[in-house]
Amino acid sequence: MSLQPPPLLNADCVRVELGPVKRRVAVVRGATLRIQPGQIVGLVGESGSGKTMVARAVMGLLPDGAAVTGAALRLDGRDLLDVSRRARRRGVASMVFQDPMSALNPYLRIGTQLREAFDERDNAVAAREMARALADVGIAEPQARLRSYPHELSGGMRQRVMIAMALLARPKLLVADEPTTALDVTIQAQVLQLLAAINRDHGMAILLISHDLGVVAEIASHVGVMYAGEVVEFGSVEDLFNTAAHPYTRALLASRPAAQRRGERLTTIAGTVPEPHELADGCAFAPRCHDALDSCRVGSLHLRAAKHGGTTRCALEAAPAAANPAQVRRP
Amino acid sequence: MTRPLVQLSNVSVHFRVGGRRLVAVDGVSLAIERGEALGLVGESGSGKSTTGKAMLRLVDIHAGAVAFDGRDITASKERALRDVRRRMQPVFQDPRASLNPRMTVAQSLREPLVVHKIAADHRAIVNRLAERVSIPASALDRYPHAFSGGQLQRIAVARAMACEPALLVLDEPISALDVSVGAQLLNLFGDLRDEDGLSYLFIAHDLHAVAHLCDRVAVMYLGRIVEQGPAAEILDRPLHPYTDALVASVPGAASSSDRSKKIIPGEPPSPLDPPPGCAFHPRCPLAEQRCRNERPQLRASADRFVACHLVKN
Repeated sequence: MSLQPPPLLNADCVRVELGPVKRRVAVVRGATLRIQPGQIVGLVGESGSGKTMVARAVMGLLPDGAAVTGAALRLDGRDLLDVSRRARRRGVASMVFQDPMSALNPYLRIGTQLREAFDERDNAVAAREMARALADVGIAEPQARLRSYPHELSGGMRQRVMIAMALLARPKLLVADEPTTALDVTIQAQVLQLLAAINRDHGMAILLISHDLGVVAEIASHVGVMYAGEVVEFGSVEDLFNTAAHPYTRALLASRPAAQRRGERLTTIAGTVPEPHELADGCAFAPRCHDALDSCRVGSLHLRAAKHGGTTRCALEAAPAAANPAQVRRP
Repeated sequence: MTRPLVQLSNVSVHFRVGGRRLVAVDGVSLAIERGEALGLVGESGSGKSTTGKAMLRLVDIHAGAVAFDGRDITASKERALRDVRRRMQPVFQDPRASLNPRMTVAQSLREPLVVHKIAADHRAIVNRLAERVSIPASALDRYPHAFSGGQLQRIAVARAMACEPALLVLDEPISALDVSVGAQLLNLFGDLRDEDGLSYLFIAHDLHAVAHLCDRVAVMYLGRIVEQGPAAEILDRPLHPYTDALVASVPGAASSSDRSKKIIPGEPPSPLDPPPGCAFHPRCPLAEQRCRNERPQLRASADRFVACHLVKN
């Protein structure tokens, strides 16, 4: 083992189940990823892949009755699987959502809402810190903006306010769930640049969740790809884009219009993502995979070391078994 | 030269907002030939959707003219528009909002045939439409809630195709879909054009999707076209500073050093209070005194048209 510091976030085969006891559905069936302090890690996947549920499990924001199990889910040394300690995320992780308008209270001034986000007894100090946080996220005239209501700001400005609010709590990890999806591209570029600057200046780690591989590639160093509730591949952004070790990742990359010559047919993935109740034995992607063998459809699959140094859930793409330190059994 | 299928000449569309005049589309000229796909890109509030609605005559035109197949429809009344409407059909972003949840897919596909009084075997037409968009005939009696977003959008396309239109106005048709599903739709649009000679106005904010389907592209900013020309050339070598920033802003498109230079500050101004001169000058890295005072006109420059004082022809 290399002498790396312990990861800030260590998710190992995390499983999330929702719904009433008799009809529980596993929306996350095996999420394994690590974030080192100060790192930006992306998590990509299509709708229903479970990426938001992973974020919510980390934040403790799952709906009532949800069950989180697995080999490990540790954040900054705290065991998040231990029910009695779940409340102890405070000050360690903050979250930014896709739609800032529904995350902000429309009836309260920005300043009032920022004030709730952090512990500071002295109001004068708090006012200074709030103004500085707004200035840090690139909002002009921060003093005046503290007195604004959310509807008086544009979508990009509201998202900056959400990021300022997250910053005030000085978390070690910022979980950003599709933070730029609702924004225009030029504003998206500004917000991504802002996230990268915050990561650089404050050493804050970021878990960036997106459906867009391009967005993740902009600022993340590592990325996990989710399919049907599992992280099917994890590695550096460069490795994933150049030598993806899972057929799903390759298909996802190939179906982007940017990846293909004009006028040529785009690569598509036949069929649809399986519903949780449709999942059979073997690899969840096998029914849609061009390369699937009979052996892919039986038994259980675990995460293996990939040739590119990361991990993959594809049995056909894994590196030879000898170099396989990250082997983990599916629960 | 053959006559274009549809032509907007200097079209302006105004709305009244709280007693003030909002110029949503300001002197836009476009033409689409038969079998041609024209892309219309721009950010929220740039007027691209309103331009599409002006082409469909779903909004009133305040100045300029709209002609479809050589016929001036600028001021046509509803009754006169009915025949034209059959030949140009919209597809919107959210198929859940455009399909009636209380009608089966078969009923939705049959409705345009009834409205336009097309006397034929409706059942056969509906089955053929479903087949073209890869919806199994066995699923036709289901309601929209039973389908995925991608399937519903294909059904919406099938409904638009029911009356054999010559033009589809696609308003952000794949923005709400996952990448691999969006790719299926783009392939379908390509097939329909190749097989039926359909024309498209493809409204989108995704430059790469536009360049994939379209021969030509027009870029809008605050109600005006700032650059128009061949899609591939504009994407590879944008001339207008706004197009340049737009291309560089596409995530994963350029190297990070290249892009950090081109991230433009600020946000688009309000169309209720447009800046004097070039509408882009408050955000433009190259703006000069002239840009603040004098509004640039769309001029020919080599293979395209550009509205910028700083672009030499």
